[in-house]
Amino acid sequence: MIGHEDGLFLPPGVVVTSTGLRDEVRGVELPLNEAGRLVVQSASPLSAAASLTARYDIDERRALTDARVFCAELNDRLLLNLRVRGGGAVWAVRWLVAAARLLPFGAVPALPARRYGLDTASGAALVATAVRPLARIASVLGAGAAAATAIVLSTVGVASLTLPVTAGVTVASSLVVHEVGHLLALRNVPACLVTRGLRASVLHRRLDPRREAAVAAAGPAAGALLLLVALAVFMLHHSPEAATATSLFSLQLLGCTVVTRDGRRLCGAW
Amino acid sequence: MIAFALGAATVAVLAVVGALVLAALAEASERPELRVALGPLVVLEFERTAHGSSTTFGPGLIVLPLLGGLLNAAGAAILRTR
Repeated sequence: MIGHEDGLFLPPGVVVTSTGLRDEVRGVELPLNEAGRLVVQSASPLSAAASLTARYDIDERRALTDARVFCAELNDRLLLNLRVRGGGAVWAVRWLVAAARLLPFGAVPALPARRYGLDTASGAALVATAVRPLARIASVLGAGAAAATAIVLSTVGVASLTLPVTAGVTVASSLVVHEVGHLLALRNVPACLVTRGLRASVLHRRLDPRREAAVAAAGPAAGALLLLVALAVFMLHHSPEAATATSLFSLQLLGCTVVTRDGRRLCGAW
Repeated sequence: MIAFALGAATVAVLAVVGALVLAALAEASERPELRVALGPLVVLEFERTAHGSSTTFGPGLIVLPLLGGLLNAAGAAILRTR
């Protein structure tokens, strides 16, 4: 999945030390040998392969394969960020090609992860640093929800512009508010935001079980506030738009059950 | 107990919201009647009469959260044994 000329860079909170790669957020260190150090300090797998070939007496093609595999492994462990040359469209084509090869064997290609630094010193700083990366995913999910709603409505013969827009805005705002809820419970805790395809999650240092549960509960709780607002509007107006928003916001509460990862952490704390 | 309470509360809110939305949709769509039930247990009954309409929330709205709470508690217990 990683191209020869994709950009490689260390994510915020990850530094090269004399012994390896240190993750300041998780408080762990991955030992690196000299070859590994050469790769993580290169601008791309191609330049990493050139450095490896120059330093060690190995075939350039093998060096390139090794560098790409190592970079993919580091990216999977959230220790290396990638900048895909050509952008999201190139990445989507690569993923489809890889999926066509792997699916017959029952495997699905991994989605590249991207880690974003967060300023956890204050609530305002947290929100300011988190909203931009979340907005990208939220806009894509919102557009998808709006399109799906429009398709469903057209199949049942309902012509409406406001309902798909309401569904899109509801889904997008649900995602942002849910993640910001988690983040606000992590003030002064080293944390970062991780996106993997259309999935967003929060990576943070290990906490005591009660605090972990509080962080897990904060996401659905923030979403529940939106539900209360939508429910109040619905009780006043009984409009189909308010009904759509209320129904979609209510799904936030599934985050309190074992159906979701948040819920499993929450229920597992007691 | 916490897992039961969380599951029950979640399903209760989902059921109530679902019932309210369905009742409003039934009202707007000018259907003569709408009945949602779990076997013999009525969740929602909407009926249009000559003088207006009536919506009744049945005992299903109490049973559903209890079932949700039990399922969530069972799921949490299974997760703890792993």
